[in-house]
Amino acid sequence: MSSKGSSKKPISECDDAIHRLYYFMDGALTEEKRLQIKKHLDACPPCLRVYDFEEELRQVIANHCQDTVPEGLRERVAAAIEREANKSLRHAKAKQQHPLDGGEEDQRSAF
Amino acid sequence: MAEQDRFVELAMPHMQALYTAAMRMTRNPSDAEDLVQETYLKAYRGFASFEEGTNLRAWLYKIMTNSFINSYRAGKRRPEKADLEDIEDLYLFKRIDKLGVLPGGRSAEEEVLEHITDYEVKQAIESLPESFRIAVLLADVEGFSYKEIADITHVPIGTVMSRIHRGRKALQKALHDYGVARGLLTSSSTVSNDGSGNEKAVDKSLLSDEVSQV
Repeated sequence: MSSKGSSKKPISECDDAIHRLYYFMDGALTEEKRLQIKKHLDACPPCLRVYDFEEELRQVIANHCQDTVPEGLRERVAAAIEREANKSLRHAKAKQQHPLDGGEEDQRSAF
Repeated sequence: MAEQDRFVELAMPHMQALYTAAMRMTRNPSDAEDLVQETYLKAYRGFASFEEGTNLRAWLYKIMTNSFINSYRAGKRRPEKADLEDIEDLYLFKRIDKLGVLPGGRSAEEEVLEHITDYEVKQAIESLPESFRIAVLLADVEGFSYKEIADITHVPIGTVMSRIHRGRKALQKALHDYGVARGLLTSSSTVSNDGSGNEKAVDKSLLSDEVSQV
């Protein structure tokens, strides 16, 4: 990526940095490789420019891709969880209130 | 009761992020609401099996992604194209780089990044085929690692990386097309590329139009 100016860096080092740029940004490189790329970026303005752009673009994408929770959704979800909780509570109570029913009886006799 | 309180306390703060992801997945508000509600219900029912100390956020996304793939994708939507054309690396940067420094000394990068809108980003993501859309969304909007995404989407990590990288390029192309539509970028989609990016074909006239509008 040494497009601007007359960088003396061998092309291969730039190619390597650009090729691994996403892995670098995504924190998916070994520490050794990460430092190697970082060292190159610090020393190569054209590659650093690419890196800065890609990092900033990612930030722009994340910032511009947020939605607001629609009115009432929180309440609806909370109510659905409440109903679900009550349902299991009733199940549990039903079992407690009828100790001589089916399952409970069997469990007792097993002791 | 304590269990319910604990679930509400831990899980509810993730709703805005989950709703955002649900919107990108389903691409419409009513399905997104249903998907979020279904996700919370399933999560609550399975909360006992959630292992304390593991990542609750990733677990919620896993439930949501599964629900989306199983119920929303199947049947409801017409089949969409499943693959992407091959797009060159650094698609957007290379095209912006052609523009050089703008009148006023601002870099073309700044100019383009600053003008990207919510609408464009959302549309660009939603234009991606489903598997790429989900991978890019989880990586670049939600910030999950390759490994977490592999776990959430049940695919090998190599597939995840490939989907993210190719999805990003397609996303850049879509954003580029919006830039062209607004006159911010040139429509020539071919960049003379000798590998070192030695192109200097500057067409600033296209930019000066845009700049004067702002």
